[in-house]
Amino acid sequence: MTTIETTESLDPPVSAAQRFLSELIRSPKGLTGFVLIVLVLLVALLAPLLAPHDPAQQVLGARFQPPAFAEDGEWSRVLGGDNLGRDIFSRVLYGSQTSIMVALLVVFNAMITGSILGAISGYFGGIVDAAIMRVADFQLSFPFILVALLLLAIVGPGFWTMVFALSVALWVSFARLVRGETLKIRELEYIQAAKSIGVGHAAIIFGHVIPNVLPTIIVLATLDIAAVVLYEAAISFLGLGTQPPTPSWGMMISEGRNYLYENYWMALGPGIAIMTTSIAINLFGDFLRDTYDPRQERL
Amino acid sequence: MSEPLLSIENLVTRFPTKRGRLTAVDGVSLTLERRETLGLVGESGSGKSVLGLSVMRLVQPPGKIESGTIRFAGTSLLDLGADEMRKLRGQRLAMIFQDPTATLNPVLTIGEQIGEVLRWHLPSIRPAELRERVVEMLDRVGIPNASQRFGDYPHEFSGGMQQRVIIAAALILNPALVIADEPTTALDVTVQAQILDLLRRLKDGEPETAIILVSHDLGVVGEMCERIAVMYAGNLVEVAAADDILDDPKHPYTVGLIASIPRLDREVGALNPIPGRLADPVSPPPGCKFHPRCIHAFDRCRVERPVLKMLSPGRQVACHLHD
Repeated sequence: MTTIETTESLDPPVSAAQRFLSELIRSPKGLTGFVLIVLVLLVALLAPLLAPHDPAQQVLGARFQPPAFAEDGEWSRVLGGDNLGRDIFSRVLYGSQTSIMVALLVVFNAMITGSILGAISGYFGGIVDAAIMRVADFQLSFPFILVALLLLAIVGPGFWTMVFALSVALWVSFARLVRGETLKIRELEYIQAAKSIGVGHAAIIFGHVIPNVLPTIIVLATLDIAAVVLYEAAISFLGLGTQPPTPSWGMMISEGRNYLYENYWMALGPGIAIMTTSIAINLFGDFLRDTYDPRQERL
Repeated sequence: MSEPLLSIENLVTRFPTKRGRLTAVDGVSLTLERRETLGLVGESGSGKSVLGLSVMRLVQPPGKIESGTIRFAGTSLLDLGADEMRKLRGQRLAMIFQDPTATLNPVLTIGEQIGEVLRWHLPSIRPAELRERVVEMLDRVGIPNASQRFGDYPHEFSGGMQQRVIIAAALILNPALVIADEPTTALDVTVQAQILDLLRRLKDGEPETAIILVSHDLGVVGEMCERIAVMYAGNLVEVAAADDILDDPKHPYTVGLIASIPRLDREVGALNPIPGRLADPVSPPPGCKFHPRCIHAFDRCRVERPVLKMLSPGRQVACHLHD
């Protein structure tokens, strides 16, 4: 008889929430990410209460006012004023609402559609694969902004059009990633074994293939969230996304770009906000993978 | 005599390759009675695994069963629709694969993986009953603390324990036929013996389970099986009772296989392999496929392919020497 360790199995059963919390407390990485994410979400929710100024109010005297830590700065406008004399700090707080909403919606849409299409493509191969992948290739041969512009031109600008256009632009990266992994996984013996006990195709895709690609999908999703914030900026910059005066981080950065040499702080506030958010999501995504991917436990 | 559990007639399975069509199974005919244990032996590449997969209809495309019939418990498997075939797999027909670590999905718990068989074939089963049946089965295959191990992942088990889990999944619905494709090759010798012992025990306790044990190890097969079928380059060359084959092999290939088993009870200078290489399955030699390696080959062997002939009741051999 081989001996086996039963230590973990004999522990009293713990609920999923308990396990999550105990793992989180033990992981500085996960905890940092989690706290930052909660913070950013709180800021987005509570922006009207936290903002010292109206984000759309233009004050002539505050044009290009330096931030508090620079020479001539004032604490009343911590991050300074922009080219129209609006308070950058208040705009960063309000901007979080648009930026985070767009990023989460887009990545969610792209992740779901892209992963499912990619898995179907890789699993079945043949004509299905060819059809899905040619659409993907076709789309990749255009710059994403062109695809987005095309859609926006057809449907007309607006928040939901932008979400739709960006989702359409982003699904390809998920589809290609998941397809590649699926091609590898479908040759593995456990897929053959699943077939040998009578499991159907859909259940193999959703029950065996996707769970194995999930850690990779999560990593790509966390990276894409930061990218979407910037894509949103690009589209808004062209006047087709978020409409002024609604602030978004991306739009603030693209506005600040024109004044980067003399008035760097216009891009500084939203830049730090984007960086913090993406680092937070990356850290937390890493933690999720480390904790919930059973393959990581093998030492 | 009643109809055998499984009867295969003239089965041909081919794979298209760049060099031409590779014939992995070349006109195999074989029958298997209920509760019988048949050993299928041959060296690597002889087509024994593909034969097993053909019966399950799980040959990986572009490989294809080109002709022949497979009758299983009164139904013709090759005429079944994909859905009907899927219903047989896991319920009436099951397969055990070679490498237990690769056969279990690393991200699902073993409870989920064994339970999957029940969920697919008994859709109305209640979760509590499912769990109960899985735990009972784990217990039967000798997993200690079965109820605590239900939620564990495959990597938390040793190789031998993983193979027990796979056997549990294959046998939980009492299939009539289990195809075990080299179930012990990836395990070390002491564990091998335990797994074989387990298979034998399960089979004896269970009514109506027949086993096809695919192996390249004549020792293992001789110990486990009532009958042995020897396969060479896609053909069956000899089929007989296990004792007959081991004590008095008729086909020169079988003689070579037995002679190449390393022995401890005899003083030999070196191992005693069969000279030459396995026949090329894309363009096999004319006549008997084994003749380039056969020391007894004569003119007729080079032109005429021998067919499997009844030598005495229950004893078949495909060799011109025994005409």
